[in-house]
Amino acid sequence: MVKMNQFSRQNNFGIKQYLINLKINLESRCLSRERCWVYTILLFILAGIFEIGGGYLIWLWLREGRELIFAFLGAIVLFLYGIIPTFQPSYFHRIYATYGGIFVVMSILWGWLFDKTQPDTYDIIGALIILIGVSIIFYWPRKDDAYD
Amino acid sequence: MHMIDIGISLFLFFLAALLEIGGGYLVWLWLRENKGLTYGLLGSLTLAVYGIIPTFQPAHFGRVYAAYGGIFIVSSLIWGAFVDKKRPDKYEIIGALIALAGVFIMFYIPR
Repeated sequence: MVKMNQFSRQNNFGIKQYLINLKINLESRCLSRERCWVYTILLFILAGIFEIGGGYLIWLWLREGRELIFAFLGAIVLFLYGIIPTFQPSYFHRIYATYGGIFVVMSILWGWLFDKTQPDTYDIIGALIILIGVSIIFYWPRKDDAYD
Repeated sequence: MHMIDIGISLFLFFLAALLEIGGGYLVWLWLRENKGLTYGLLGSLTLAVYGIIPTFQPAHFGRVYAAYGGIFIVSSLIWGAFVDKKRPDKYEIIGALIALAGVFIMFYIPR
């Protein structure tokens, strides 16, 4: 019994092993700071799309009276949204704090594109300042850049 | 927007931030800290509950989203300090203050 437990702790089967392999595979390509910037910013944008998309599917179920399948799809998309940040080469709190700023900017863009609510000058100035702030949180070079 | 609506909105945003960061953290523990699948499943459940919260928001909450971003940034750093035992470093605090200034410009400048 003890042996079996040790065995299962050393070996991750199925989806988890797949995700970990995928993560190692993708992260190994983020060698230079420049490439890492592209990789991480894409992950932030992807997370935003999944969060807003998943939330929208659940919204359709509860507020627009659509079928239960929308709720299931929404839950799956939100689960994927939760997986995306685990691909970021940084700390949990740093990734999430940065994502908060990305989320504001993306919801303004979303409202502009789909709800036709055009941001005004102060929205744009505020959004740019938020982006500067979260860029400092995430991208400022530190001595402890070796994560985990 | 009425004061009560703003109050409800902010309460819901705090709740949403808690569920979103908590759910994300459980998924993180599953995949990054090598905890069991139970953590991943609990995380997915928490994130699904999080998805329900915005449907209770008053109809037009436009710029309150900016407030949510600010709440989310601060909550993440607090979560890191208390749950993850990683105190925010200098640049995280400076960056968060700058981002909050942006949030205030978006949210509080009268139009």
